[in-house]
Amino acid sequence: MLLSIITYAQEKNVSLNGYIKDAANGELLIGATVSVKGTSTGAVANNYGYYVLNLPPGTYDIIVQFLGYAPQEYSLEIKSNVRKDFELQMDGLGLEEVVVSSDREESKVKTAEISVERLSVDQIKKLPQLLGEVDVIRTIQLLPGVSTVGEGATGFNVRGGNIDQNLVLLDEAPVYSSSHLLGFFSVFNADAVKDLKLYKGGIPANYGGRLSSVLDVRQKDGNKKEFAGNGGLGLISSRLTLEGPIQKDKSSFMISGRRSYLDVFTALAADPDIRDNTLYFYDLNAKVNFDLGEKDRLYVSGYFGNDVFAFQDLFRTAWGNRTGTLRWNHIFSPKLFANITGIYSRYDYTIGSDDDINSFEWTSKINQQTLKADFTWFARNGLTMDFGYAYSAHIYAPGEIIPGAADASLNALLLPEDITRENSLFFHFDQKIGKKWTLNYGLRWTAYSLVGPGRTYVYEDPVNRNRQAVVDTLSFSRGQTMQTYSGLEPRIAINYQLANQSAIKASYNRLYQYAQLISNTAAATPVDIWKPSNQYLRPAQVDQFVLGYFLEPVEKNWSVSAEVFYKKYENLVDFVDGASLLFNEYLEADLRSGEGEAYGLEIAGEKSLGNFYSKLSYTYSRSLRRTDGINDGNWYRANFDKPHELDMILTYTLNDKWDFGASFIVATGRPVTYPTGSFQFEGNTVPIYGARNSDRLPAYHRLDLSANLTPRRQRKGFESSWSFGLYNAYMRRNAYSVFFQPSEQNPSQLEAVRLSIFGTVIPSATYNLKF
Amino acid sequence: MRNIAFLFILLLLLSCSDVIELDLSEAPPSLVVEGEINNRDGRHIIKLSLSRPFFETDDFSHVTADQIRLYQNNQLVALYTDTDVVGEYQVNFRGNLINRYHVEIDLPNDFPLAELAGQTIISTQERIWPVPAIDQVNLEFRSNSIFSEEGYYLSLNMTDNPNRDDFYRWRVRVNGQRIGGLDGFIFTSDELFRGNELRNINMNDDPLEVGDTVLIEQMSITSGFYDYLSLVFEQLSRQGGFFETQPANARGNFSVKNSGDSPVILGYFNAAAIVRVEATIDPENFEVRTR
Repeated sequence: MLLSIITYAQEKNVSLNGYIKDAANGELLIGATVSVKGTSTGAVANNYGYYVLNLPPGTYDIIVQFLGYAPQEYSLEIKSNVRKDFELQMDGLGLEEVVVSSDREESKVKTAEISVERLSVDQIKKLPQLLGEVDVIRTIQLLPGVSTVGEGATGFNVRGGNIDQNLVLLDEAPVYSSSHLLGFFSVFNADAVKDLKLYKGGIPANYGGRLSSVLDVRQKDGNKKEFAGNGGLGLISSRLTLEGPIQKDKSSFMISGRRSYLDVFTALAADPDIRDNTLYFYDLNAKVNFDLGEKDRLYVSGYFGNDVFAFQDLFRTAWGNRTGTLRWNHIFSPKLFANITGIYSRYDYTIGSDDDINSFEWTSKINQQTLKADFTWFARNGLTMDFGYAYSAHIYAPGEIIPGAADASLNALLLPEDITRENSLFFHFDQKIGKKWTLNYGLRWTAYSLVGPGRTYVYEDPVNRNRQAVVDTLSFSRGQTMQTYSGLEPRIAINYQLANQSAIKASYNRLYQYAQLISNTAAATPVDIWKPSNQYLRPAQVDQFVLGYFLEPVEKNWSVSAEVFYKKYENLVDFVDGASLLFNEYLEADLRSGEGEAYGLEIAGEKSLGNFYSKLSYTYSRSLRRTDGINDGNWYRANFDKPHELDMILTYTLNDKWDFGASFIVATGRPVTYPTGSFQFEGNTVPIYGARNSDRLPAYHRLDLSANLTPRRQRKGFESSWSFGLYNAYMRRNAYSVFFQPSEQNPSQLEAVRLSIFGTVIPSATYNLKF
Repeated sequence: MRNIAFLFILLLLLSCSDVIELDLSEAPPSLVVEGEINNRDGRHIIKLSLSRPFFETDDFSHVTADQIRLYQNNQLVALYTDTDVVGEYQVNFRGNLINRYHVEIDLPNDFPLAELAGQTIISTQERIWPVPAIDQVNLEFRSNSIFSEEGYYLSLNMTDNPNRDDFYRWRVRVNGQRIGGLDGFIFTSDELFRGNELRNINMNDDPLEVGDTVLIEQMSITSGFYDYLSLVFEQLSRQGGFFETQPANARGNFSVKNSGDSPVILGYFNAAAIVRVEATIDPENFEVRTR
């Protein structure tokens, strides 16, 4: 094996390099492949659509392909380094020649990537959606290993990880809250999204800072060929996307907006109790990009979104994210690709009242600024190295209250900000060894510091901290280091190809997380607090091991995969019973760090048969916690410990007019704590609860159906279509929670009441147009 | 917070709730003690009972003690005596401001819970903190809205002591009948209001009628009892919504004397200072009397 590496290195190769694009609009195709026909020599376009194929000088039949696109064949004579950009046409556009190849480079059997899910927006759009809103995050909850604590719950849980353990990136900018209207809709407007990739394990060393997953969402660059647009009218919101060249083939823009309009209807109501309410959300996505010659590309992209809710003058709240990305891609030499990025991300919320002397304004925010430089070195075919450096500064402002009136009862209050700095370095190799082995391996190093100005409280007992027992306060001046942590995060993934288009893969990764979301509700809320590591709360840590088997027969009509994983967590923060989390300057006194364990099995199968496509996945997954000072120090189930989950997706294309979709999910109910007894206090019957999360809600199951209609007769340059949906088709009353109350007939008798967020079938119709 | 969740759900108009059958595991019974001492009343009651399985409908069973002792600043000051009711004991003693009180209870050898038979249990020390006067009582007529039914409502103003962490509770009697249930939980800490005048603290959620006589008690309570009330209130007001915290037990302030590893004892012995006012609902001539 060693010998073969040396021989490879000694060959005098030249490189074919460039970008791979969509022929219709110039969008870069992430993950498209370039290979030499009839051989296993090939290259994959990176996250920016750039590829490098190293070859000895000669003439080659080159195949360029990408899922959903018609492969293209070229005969090229390559004598020296050649820059060549390829353009691919979408499938079904009347291409006569269709090349079937067994050497698809992005095939799961060939790469060492494990526990990775990739979804195209076109796939998502074919599936049933709640109220017709095409939703990225709801759809990934149908993937094996991904779940949620309940309908309308914010975020998603990956392999027994809390929602704050997902690194959600929009054009590389972290998004702190990925949901609208609590968790009913995600912040990603599907019309503005090009590609998304979810890493559940085997996370490459370029990513860090969150323990359980990376959801990498890339926005469309904008059509470089011609002006285009699309939009839609739905029950909840309407949306419009415009894109087009600024200078043809050189630069383009994309702008996409979405706004919900429940409040437009409520404003028409006669009853002032309804009329004077406000409830809406909106998003704005925008991106421009420029080709500055052959070697440089510049991108500027942003996201701006908000939820607004108000009830007369009495109460109002708003929360939202803002992100900005400035990205410069530079090709230093055909083999060295650079991506320099400046990132801004902000999440904030306000709660206020304009009610006379009780008026107040309460604000909270998180602010992140990152500068990073990533490089890809295409050493030779079968060996690339990514390496880079990043610097991040965070400001966590947990809360400030400003009274609205001079003589208000309420005092002004400012909780101290937490300011942190992070430096990180990484390298990551992707290497092929012989015909059978593929290796990904790398290392990430992060140095974290919490800096002043700030205060550290010294507790009488530093472990069982109690806010009534603060013995001293240490003050730190601006910029002074309050606490530092650093650590190495090794990552490795191995693929061994077996005969018959199958492979065995294994991976190990360690990750650190320096800020955790503190929530004592079943589902996270917009006002939950992100708490960075300090003297008492050490960075959370996970070690994950994965072993998998993948089978994709040549005919490509079906595939199956199975993965088992084991995760060991350290320093996960949990709250003590009865913790108070808001406006608590001594927050760490109500928190404890504990260990956790998650393990499971994921089996997935896909099959295409004629116009049918189906995907079936089963997940067995456990997630347990043990924390001194919580649940008497015994192990307990995490809130999202749902052992069994079965997901089924089916789509059927009847003809070019109609296609149909269905999804079905059945899962174990989430853990809850039920009462085991009651006692009397001042004539009230007060429940006594058993061990934390020792009971479960009833099982969850739901069927959704959809139909898409594209009328055959269309006006020129203007295509319209309809999407119809039935959510919760057989009207299952899934329990979001169970609570207890005295019976109406007999108040001394207590009864269990099931709260269902959707107790009935929810139909929807959406009108879509493209021009 | 619960209101926000409620309104979200209301606006979506899609949620529903229904009664379901549920099998719950049953915890063994625990001892429950409930008692108070204050600076106004001459006679105080302490009650001993057992907890019961959650869906049980029989009355809570009352249990007896051998002796109950009241201590002021760790000095024995009084013994509780029997009442006509099983499990209820009384003491004739008026508490004094700034002093600390606790009780010790000797349980009999034939006590129904084996782990407590023959044991002495002790409460934490509770201090009677001064309570400020009620500055003003406001009478307001409200018409029907989604927040309140049509009728009369009382609220009051008071001024917090700026030099101390204070915790307050209010108890209301309408025509001699104590407002109970969730509406009986009116309490706050001065955390966000330190040293200010608190205005329009609502005293009733159900409307009052002309002619009703209302007695309002304003109480200073301890931080421990405030935490306990918060937890009890939270457990009683669960509706299963998005903003609801996870259940937590209200543990109380009793333990077995001189034991590092006490079995769970529920209930609270608290100490409070009280000021009282009385008013009769009369929009023409609204008068407030100090009692």
